[in-house]
Amino acid sequence: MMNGKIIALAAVAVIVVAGLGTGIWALSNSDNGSDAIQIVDGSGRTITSEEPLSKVFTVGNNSPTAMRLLGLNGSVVGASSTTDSSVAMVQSVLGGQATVWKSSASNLSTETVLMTDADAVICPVKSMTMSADQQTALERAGVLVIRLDCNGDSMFDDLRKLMVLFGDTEEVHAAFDAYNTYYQDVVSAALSAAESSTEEVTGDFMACLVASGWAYNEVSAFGGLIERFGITNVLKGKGFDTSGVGNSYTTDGFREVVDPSDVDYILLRSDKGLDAVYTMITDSSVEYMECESTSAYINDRMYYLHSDICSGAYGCVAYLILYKILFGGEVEGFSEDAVIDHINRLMGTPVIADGTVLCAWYGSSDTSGTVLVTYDAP
Amino acid sequence: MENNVGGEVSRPGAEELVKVYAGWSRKRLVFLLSMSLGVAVVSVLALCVGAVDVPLADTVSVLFRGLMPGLIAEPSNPHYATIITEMRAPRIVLTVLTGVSLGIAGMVMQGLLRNPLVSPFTLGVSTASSFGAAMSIVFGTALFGTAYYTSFSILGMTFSFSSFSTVMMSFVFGLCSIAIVLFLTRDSNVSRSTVILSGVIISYIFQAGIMFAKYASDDDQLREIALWMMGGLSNVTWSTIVIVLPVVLVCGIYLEKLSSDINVLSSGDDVARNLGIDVRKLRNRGLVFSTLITTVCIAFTGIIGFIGLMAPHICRMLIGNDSRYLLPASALMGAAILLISDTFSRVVMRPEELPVGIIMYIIGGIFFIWLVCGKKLGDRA
Repeated sequence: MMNGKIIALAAVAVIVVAGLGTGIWALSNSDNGSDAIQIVDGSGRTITSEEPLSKVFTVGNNSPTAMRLLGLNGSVVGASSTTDSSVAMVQSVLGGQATVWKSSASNLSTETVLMTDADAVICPVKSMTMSADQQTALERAGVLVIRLDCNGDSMFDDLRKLMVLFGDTEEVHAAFDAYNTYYQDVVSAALSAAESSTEEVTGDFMACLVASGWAYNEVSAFGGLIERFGITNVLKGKGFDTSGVGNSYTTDGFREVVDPSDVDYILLRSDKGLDAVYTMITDSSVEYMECESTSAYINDRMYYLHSDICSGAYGCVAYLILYKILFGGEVEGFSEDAVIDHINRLMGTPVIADGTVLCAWYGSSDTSGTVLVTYDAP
Repeated sequence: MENNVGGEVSRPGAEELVKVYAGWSRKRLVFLLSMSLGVAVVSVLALCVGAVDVPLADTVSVLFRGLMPGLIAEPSNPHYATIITEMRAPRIVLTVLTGVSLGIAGMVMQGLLRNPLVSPFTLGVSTASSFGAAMSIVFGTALFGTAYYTSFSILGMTFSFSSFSTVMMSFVFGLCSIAIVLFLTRDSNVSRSTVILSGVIISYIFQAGIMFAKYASDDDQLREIALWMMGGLSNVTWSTIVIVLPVVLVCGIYLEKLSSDINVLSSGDDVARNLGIDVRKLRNRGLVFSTLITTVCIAFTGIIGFIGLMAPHICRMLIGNDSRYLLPASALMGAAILLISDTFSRVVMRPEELPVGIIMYIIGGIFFIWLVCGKKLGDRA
C-alpha cells in the first residue's frame, strides 16, 4: 500500500517536472524566436527566417523584376526562366552576375538550386512554379521556399514582403517608395482624367487572354483594372469561373449567359504581337466569343493590349492606354513613352523594347488590326 | 538425359543428376551474385552524377567520413553532403526498390497467368493508380480546401498534403483494381484469359476516369497529371523509404515462398491441382501481393512501364524458367535497368530532369523490337 503511494507520488512529481521543463523550454524558444523575420507568403504559409535574406534564387520573370525595383538584384545568385528571350531578359534585369538557367520550374533539379548557395527561392504561388515535392526537398536542405507572384493585384504587397525579408533597410525603402509613388501618380492621373472627362463612357466589356482563350471575370486583377474606368465586365454575376479567369464554357454555353450584342468592348491581352492576334481570335481557342456578332466587332471596339503593360512593373501603362481607348485623349503629365522609359531605366534594361506595339484596334472595318500606340524610346 | 556408351543406352545415375543440378544452381547463384555486385557498383556511380557532378572522392568522403573521421578528409563543398545523403541516396534506394518490385511483380504475374505478356499494368493497376493520382491533383483543392497546399510532420518527417493525398489516392485505387478483378473472377471455373481480360476492361474504365479528370483540369493540373503518368524519382525522401521498404521486403519474401508452387503451376492447372496445390488460392494471393508491391512503389514514383515485362524476359533468356532463381534475378535486373535509366534521365538534360518513364518506354520499345526480330530470325532458321 505504502509502495503504491510512493509510486503515485513519484509519478505526479515526474509529470510536474516534465510539465515545468516543457513550459520553460517552450518559453525560452518563444523568446529566441522574437527577433525572427516573419511574413505570410502568397500561398498563406507563414515564412520565418532567423536572419534577413542575403542570397536568393528566383523562378520566373516577375520576381527578378521585383528584386530589381527594390535594388536587390545583387542578392539574386541564381534564376530560372522558360524561354530563350525571357532568360536574356532576366539576365539583363539582374545585371549579369547571376546564372540564369533555361528550365521550367517543376523540371529544375533541386540540386542546382542548392549549389547556388541561396538562402531562399522566390517562386510564383501556383502557376509555372516549383512543386510541393521540390519545396519539401529544398526546405529539408535548409533553403526556404517563398511563394510570391510579384505581379497583378498582389504586386505591391509582395514588394513590401520582400523588403521585410531582406531586413527592411533604408536603401530598399527608398527604392520602393520612389517606384510606388511614381506608379500611383500615373494611376491617379489616369483615373482622375477619366472622372473629370466630359465624355460619357458606359457599356459592357469582355477581356480575354488570347493565347489560352481565357476570359477575365469580375474577380480577376485585369478585369478589376478595366472596371475602374466605369465600364462593366459582361461576365459579372454570370458565375463564369471562380478563379478570376476561365475557359470552361462551350460556344453554346457561353451564348446562354452572354448576349453578344451586349459586348461593347473586347480587350485582347497577348504577348504574341499584333500579327498573331487576329489569327488567334478567329481560331478555335476563343471561338466561344463569337466575336463577329458582338457590338464591339461591329463598332470597331476590339483592342489588342500587350501583356507586359497589363500587370506587373509596367502595369500603370495600361491605365494610360485604357484612358486613350475609352475617352480618346492623353493623360496630362504622363505619356506612355515617358512612363515606359522611366521604368525601363529603373530596370536597367529595356524590358519593353523600342518599337513595341502596345495597343491596336480591330473590328468590322479593319480585320487585320491598326496600331494605336507604339513605344518610341526617347 | 541419356548416355550412349559402346552402343548401349545408359541413364545417368542419381549422383550425376545431382552434380548437373548443382552445376546449374551454382551458375544461377553466380549470376545472382554478379547482378547484386553490378547493382551496388551502379548505385555508387549514380551517387556521383546528376544535375551537379560530385567527385568520387567527395562521395566516398560523405559516405564514410562518419565512420573514419580522422582518416577521410571533409568533402570539398559543404553542399555535397546534403546532395548525397538527403537527395540522391534516398532516390537511389527507392529506384532499387521500385526496380525490384516491378521485376518481381512482372515475373510472378507471368508465372501465375502463364502468359509472358502479362505485367502489373496489364491488370489495370497502373491505370487505376493514375486515376487516383489524377483525381487528387484535379479535385484535391475541392476536397481538402486550402489544407491541400499545406505540409504536416509525423515523427519528424515532413509531408506536403498534396503529395500525400496523391500517393494515398493512387495506392488505394491501384489496390481497388485488383480487388475488382478478383471480384469479377471469383468463380472457381474462370480461365486465366478471363482474369487478363477483366484487367484490360478495368483499365479501360479507369482510363475514362483519367480522361474526365484531364478534361476538368486547368493547364497546371494537366501538366501535373502528365508528369505523374510519365513517372519520376525526383525529390524522394527517407520517409518514403521508411514506408516502401517494409512492404517490398515482406511481399518479396512471401512471393519467393510461392515460387516453388509457381514452378509447379507452369505444368498446367490440372497438374498443380493433382499435386495438391490450391490453384485459385495461389493465383489470388500471388496477384494481391504482386499488386501491393507494385502499387506501394508507383504511388510514389508515378507510372514506370516495361520493367515488369523486360526484366523477367531477359532473366529467362539467361538463367531459364526456375521461379526460385528467376524471381530474385528479375528483381535485380529490374533494379539495374531502372537505376541506369534514372541516372541517364538525371544527366541527359541537366539541370532539368527528364521523367524516367520516357527513357523506359524507349528502352522497352527497342528491347521488344529486338525480341520480335530475333524471334522471326529464329523461326526462319
